[in-house]
Amino acid sequence: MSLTYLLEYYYIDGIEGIPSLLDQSIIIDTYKDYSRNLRKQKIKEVDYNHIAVKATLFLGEKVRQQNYFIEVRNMVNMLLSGMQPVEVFQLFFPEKEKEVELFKAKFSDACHLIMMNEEVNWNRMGCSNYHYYKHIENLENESKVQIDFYEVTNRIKSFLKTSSEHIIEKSEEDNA
Amino acid sequence: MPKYTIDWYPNFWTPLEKERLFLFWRERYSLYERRLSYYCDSQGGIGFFDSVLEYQKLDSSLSEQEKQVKLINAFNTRKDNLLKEFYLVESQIEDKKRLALLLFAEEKGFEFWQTQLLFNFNKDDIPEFIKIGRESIELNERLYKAALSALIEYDRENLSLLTAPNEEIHGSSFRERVLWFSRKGRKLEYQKLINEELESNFELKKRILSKYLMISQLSDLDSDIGFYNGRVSVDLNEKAGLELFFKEPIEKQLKEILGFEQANFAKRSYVPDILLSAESKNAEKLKFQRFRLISFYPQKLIDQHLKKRKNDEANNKQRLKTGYNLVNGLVERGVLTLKEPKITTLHDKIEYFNKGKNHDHLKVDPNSHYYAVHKDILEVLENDPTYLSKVLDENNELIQNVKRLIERRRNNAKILETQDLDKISYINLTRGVVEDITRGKEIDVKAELNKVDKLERMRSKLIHSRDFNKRRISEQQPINMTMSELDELKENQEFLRNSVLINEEELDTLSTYLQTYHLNTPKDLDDSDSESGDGDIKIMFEEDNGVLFERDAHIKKYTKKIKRKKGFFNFKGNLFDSIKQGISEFKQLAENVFEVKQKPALGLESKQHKTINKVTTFEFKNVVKSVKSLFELKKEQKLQHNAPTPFKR
Repeated sequence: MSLTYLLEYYYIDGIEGIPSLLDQSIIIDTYKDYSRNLRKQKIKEVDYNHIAVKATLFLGEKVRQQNYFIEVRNMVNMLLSGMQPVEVFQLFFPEKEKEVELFKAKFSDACHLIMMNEEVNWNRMGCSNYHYYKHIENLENESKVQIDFYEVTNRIKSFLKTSSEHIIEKSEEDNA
Repeated sequence: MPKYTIDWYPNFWTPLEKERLFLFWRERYSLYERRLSYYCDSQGGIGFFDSVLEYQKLDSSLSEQEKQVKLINAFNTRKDNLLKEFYLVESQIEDKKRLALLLFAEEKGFEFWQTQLLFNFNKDDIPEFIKIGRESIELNERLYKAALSALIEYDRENLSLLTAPNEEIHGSSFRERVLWFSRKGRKLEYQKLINEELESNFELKKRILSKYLMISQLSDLDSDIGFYNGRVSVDLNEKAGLELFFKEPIEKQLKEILGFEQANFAKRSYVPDILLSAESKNAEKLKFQRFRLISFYPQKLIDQHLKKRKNDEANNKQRLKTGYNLVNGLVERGVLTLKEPKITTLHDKIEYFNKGKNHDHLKVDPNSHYYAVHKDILEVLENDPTYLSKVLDENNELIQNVKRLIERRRNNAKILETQDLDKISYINLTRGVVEDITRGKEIDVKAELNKVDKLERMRSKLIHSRDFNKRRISEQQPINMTMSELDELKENQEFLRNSVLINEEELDTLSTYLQTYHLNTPKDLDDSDSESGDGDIKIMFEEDNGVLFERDAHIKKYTKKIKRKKGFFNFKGNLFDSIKQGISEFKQLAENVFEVKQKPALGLESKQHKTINKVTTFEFKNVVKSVKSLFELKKEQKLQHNAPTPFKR
């Protein structure tokens, strides 16, 4: 079992040339403007060489690539937040049969990323939920320590009590 | 709001059902803005911010871009608030867990809205744009659904009424608050919750006050009798009643409030459906409503709920198997059909219910009054005399107390020698000063006597049938009764409905459940450097206080067990270890998925592709650059885009 693509691609900034959200909206706005103009002029054929259409097609290509890794990252995020693999598997299982193959690749990538823990730069993976749970886990450990401490102090108290009683008894015996 | 009947444990949900449920839950969650308690600083998040629905709510007179900016600001404020609650010192681990899920779900909802807005396609668009738009929206919807369902699952696990589809979401009960705030070992200061309930629930306060005033009045009557205009009056401060109430042990205080709540529930017409599946809602079952009302959330039902969950988990294997079949292109619904056991007699039913329970205390005792609750589940007659007589036994103490009070009154009446008992129908309560007479709650002595007599009569009537039932429980026959007897029985049941406060067993379980998580924080920490004793803690406590020790030790043991068994997240040491282990176990199960997979053609497959990708990226950057300049030019020409664009990072 290995990752389908290079590890680099799975990071948030992994794929080069993904335009920012602002750029994406500009590209789509420009395309929409162009298409509105076409409709106004009642022209049915779209010019695929027009810069607005060309940019939209490029954007589509990039978004398609990005979507794959977005889903994998989200699966990783959910697995890291303590969700059972079976649950995640069921949650993301596609409704259309033709998407099953793609899903298999995504899911196995998500699992594999977790298995290769040390090699992954988790800060670049951008798993928001995972950071919350890391915080919670630390708290849980703290509370465990507190309980243990309580037990130890109790034991000390009991020791002191039994030993003092023992001394009293002994001194009574000695007196007798 | 539309109401759907939902099977909580479906073998599969059709895409249509999923769609309906998704819309339903989004609406329901976004309508829910209830603060359960003011004393609990953190509740694990209040309300739910669904970006799409919030966007629709915005003022339609605003321009699109103004609305977008408004929504983004609202989302950011909301997120900040949730994060503040998350890092609040008062937030306990369970609060944080829910907050994390809530934050995640809202974030995914926001991204879903963003994508919907960005790829707003219509039929006139080029097919490539429609395709990518649809794919992106579907992806974000899938993610949102997953995140929201994780949140719902958490709420469902903790019996939140929010997840009961038919439940009204306005108003909340005390029991609901107790359950929610003590979920999975969340520490709860009981007394504060009770104080809060008394402060906010005027009816309850009035009732408790009058009840305890009556008790204190009667117990002190000999010494504090006064006369005013021929009436009996007693000097009592109003506070005395509540003080008496708070002197009671916490379990009794709880019992009082829960009892009050149940009596009120019995008057209501709706049935909480949280623990019932859809198919159980038929007319036949509605007559068991009484049991549900009396034992709203009884331990046994909760157990049954958990048992069903466990079964469901076992079923996951089956569902997974179906998943593989789908993967291989074989849809086998047959795998999903559950086999129901064949049950005909009551004996069979109880046997089935007890099956697989190794410990005696987990088994249903057919002689216990509690089996009646199971009978509810197991579809047996409601008017079962065994149950009623057991309930009467349970309430024996209550009856005795009422009797004792009446007895004392009789004596006092004799002492007073003023009027006949029947003529004294009320006792006036004064607040310290004699002039200021306030009319207290009227106590109808006759009615109270009648009630006790009725109970007595019914008790003797039912005692023989109980003995009979003990012997031949499996062949139980309905008892022949005349119409008048039946009417009386109904009347008595009506009375019982209001008089049964809470079952002892239920109370015990509830209080142990709550005490279990009341791990005392060390108050007097001994920081001396003495060495610790080698012996077990057990020895110390047995010498000190046997009873207390037994309980404490039990609690510790129980808590440890719970942490292992029911802990929501099983992290031991390193976070990854447990998750990795889980995944590798899953991997063994899911060999199909891991072994056979095909690379989707994303244009990122090999080194050669990588170079191509670099070239296209370069080209793409140029294209974006020119589109941007085109955009700027249009902006200057038209001056249409004055409002800030929402997608600025």
